[in-house]
Amino acid sequence: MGMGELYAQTPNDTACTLPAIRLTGKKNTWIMPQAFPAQKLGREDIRESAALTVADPARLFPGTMVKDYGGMGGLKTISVRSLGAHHSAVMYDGLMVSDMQGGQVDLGKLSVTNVESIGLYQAQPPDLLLPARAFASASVLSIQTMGTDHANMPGTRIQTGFRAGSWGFVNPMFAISGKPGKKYVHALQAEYARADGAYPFTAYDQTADKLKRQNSDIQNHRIEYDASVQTGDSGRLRVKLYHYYSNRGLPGSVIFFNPFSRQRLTDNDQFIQSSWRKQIRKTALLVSAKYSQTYKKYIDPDFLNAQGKLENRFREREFYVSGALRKEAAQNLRLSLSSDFFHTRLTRSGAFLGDTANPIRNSSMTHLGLQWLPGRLQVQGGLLGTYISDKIGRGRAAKDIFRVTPTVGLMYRHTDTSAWTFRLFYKTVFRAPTFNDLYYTFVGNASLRPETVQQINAGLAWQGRQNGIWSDLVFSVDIYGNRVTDKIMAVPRQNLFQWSMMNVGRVQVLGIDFAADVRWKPLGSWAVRQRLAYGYQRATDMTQPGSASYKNQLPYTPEHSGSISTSIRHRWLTVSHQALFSSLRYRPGDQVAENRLEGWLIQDVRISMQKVVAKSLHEVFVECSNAFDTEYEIIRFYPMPGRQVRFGYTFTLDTKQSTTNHKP
Amino acid sequence: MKQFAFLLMMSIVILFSSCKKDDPSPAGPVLQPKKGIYVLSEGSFGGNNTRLGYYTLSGNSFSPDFFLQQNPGAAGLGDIGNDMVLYGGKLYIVMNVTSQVTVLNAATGALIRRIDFRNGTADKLPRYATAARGKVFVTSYDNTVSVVDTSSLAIVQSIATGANPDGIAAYGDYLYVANSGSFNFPDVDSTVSVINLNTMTEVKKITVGLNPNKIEVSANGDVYVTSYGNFSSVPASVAVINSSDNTLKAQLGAGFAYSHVRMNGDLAYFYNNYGGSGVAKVYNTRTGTVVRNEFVTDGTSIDTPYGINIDEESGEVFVCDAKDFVTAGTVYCFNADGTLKYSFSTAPGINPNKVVFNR
Repeated sequence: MGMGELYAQTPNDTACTLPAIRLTGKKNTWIMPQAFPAQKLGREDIRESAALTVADPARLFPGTMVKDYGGMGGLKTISVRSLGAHHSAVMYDGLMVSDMQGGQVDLGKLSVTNVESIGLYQAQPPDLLLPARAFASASVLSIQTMGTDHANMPGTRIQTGFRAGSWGFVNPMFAISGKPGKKYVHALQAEYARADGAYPFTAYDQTADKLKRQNSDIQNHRIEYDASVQTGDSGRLRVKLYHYYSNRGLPGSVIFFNPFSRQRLTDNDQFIQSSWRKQIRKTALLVSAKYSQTYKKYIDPDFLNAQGKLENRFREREFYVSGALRKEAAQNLRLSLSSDFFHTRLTRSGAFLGDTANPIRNSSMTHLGLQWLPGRLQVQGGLLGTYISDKIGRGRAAKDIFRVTPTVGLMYRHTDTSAWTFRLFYKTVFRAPTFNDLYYTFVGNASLRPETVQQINAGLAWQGRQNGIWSDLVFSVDIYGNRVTDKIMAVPRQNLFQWSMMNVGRVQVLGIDFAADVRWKPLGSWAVRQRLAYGYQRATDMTQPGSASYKNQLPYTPEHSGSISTSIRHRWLTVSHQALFSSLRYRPGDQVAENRLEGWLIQDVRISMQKVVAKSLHEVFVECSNAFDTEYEIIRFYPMPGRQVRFGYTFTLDTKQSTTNHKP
Repeated sequence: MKQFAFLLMMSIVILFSSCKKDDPSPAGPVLQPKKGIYVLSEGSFGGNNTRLGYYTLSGNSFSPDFFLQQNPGAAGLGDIGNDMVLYGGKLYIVMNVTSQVTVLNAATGALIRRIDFRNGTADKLPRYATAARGKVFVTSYDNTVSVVDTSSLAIVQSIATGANPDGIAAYGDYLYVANSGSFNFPDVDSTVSVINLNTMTEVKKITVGLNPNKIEVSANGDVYVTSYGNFSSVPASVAVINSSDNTLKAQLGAGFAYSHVRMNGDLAYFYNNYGGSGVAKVYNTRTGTVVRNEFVTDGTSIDTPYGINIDEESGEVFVCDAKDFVTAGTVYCFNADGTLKYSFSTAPGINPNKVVFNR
């Protein structure tokens, strides 16, 4: 369940912000007809896609690009509708994952093992009872974990399993959930993964030798604990603890005749988040708090400075509180008020390029929302006020930011039973300059203004059910235009050592997203479902008339991209297949053959078998990513992994009841 | 991950520079007119797109990837060609990020050898080269000058210098090496190592400006050292060393905030390798007077003078324009009087930084 259902709008809804309610057996909804285009992948979809991290299913949404530096541990960030990773917020169980330093979340750090659903919301999620921060980005990728989903059942559920495969990949997991008290449920989940990541790729010279990617190993573990307590008649308090550690090699780009790299990155992240949700007659209340800390250590043991190594350590900490109210003000009218405050500080140690600013940022956001539902028309809008103020240890801090930005969305259905839905939205939003943009030694520029995005979208959706060759069909088409102004870019200034971040960029994007979900008529006990996503994007650099790149397609942006996912089920057997494709792209520079990256098509296959034995459910599976061993690149000279074969086994035990009705 | 992007960027930035002149010996042989021009385009960091191009004067045509044309099947030169020296019929191309010196037959462009510049698996990061006495001397950021023997084409000796040496010049019995210390920023170096060519050891360090970068020797034996400064409070500067006693002779002062220099006989061409500060200042080293504050006299516009080289035979000045660092560069040939003679694009080569002449 994603937020569409999660933040259900029934007055007595006690569903909570944190883990989702899980209705086993309910069909997944890929496309959600609402004012703001959205797609969502459920747990089954994610499993069938043979995904390892959130970066894998994120590729399946129309209009998205996952910038992937390859390998098991490479940086993977999402760009939605060519706006860049900075404009996509990532929400984990209802609260934002923050990165004020770099402004982009590495999806490769987020495992899917514990994920219940992943939704992509253009503009913002549809519900009003959300923290203000959920309204502050051009798009939101919302990840819901299983949390305490299973804990409401009687007895204890234990789940354990492992996956292993090519390139030294080993991934055991363990989960336990239960209900120790009448009003208290909790769940613990842990996993470990490692891979040496030495996958083969073909040398770039005409020898076409098979080489192995060097320094591409990763080792990580993750522990999550969720607890949920019922408070009073309609209140629920949820708490989540999260710990993640990883240590990985940074292979860098393939440099001719020089395969050596010993640079490493260690991540050590923790957060605790809690939310309390309560319904008092016509008012719903949501109070949330989060403390998060991320620690990054980068080391280059071969750096040629006086210390003989380069070591940089960054610690970012954030305290975050949020309160939201949603009121049924009149019939067909809902009003909401959300207010967030967060305090973020970055400290840096290790010596390179002088002293550091150690910035502190106080941000506050207030959102006023309205939903008006007169009959078949739905109007939704909001005003977001943002105030950001920085303080730094030395040097000049950036000017305070105060802005009010609007969003308005419409949805219309001609008749109550009409299969067609029309929608329209407009949103203006901005992203604040990151700590790196503002304060990084030399490069940083404290005079930066926010980078502004205007989005406009018009679309339609159709859904139907019949007894013909297909049984269920949903599709949507959206045409959108984005304009980015004051885009923050690095430009050489005055002196070549003084590259500087400047508000110089302008981008125009014109695109079409198409998504479809079809269930073919079952043939005996065979069930076949297909999902489609296609995106067309013309993302034009409008920065500088006369420059070589003026009106060219943005670097690394394909005009055409998409995916087709198919799953076939027969009793205990599920076979799934997905194809992902991208048209050609260019690296930065002249759009000539030399800078061209060819288009690609890759296919993943998975076969899984499930069997219930007494109170336990057993699943064995084989999955194969990039089954045809296609060689491709997303970033030039970062070869992507070829075929990886993995197999796995999962065992689920419910001590008090049969697991027949519950998928693992 | 931003910090890596930043580091990469800084590396690129640190690598930005033009280069060293070949052989500053004052009494060279009489030069033949050039037949063609080799152009080194350094490429982009991580792009493996260093290009060696060749411009023939007889056909006025440019072969943008002369190396691949002459060495079909080779993988290219590699990543970030910082410098190129023509000596004894061979081209020595200093490949910084690939960490090699690639040796070609200068007449045919045929690949002779790729010399690894490594300590174990760690890069030495070679930067600039000069040639003298049958050897090619290459500065590397591991605080050494490597001595490459021109017949065995191997590193035969390593001479310790200051931190992260950049520019290098040979004159008389000495090698002069600019110790930049760039990787220790802001605690950069500010010295020139003087190396005795007979003993191959450093005999002296001379303090010059902060973060020294380029070294060139004038016809009368003065060693000109340009320094970057610290990019904020300390501007770029020019120091002059007297090669007869290896002492600091002068600092040129406020009108000479230049990080780069190229010498031709008595004339020094001072420049900064970024846009917006003109192309070059021409200075007479014998009279100590400025010849022209702006070398270009016909209004030709250069975005980014990334490297300047002078044909000693004709006095023509070749300016490599790196434009915006991502799109193809242009090489401009100027007459000695600062008027444009011709120009050609280095496409697809980006960031051209050096030309040498095939005679």
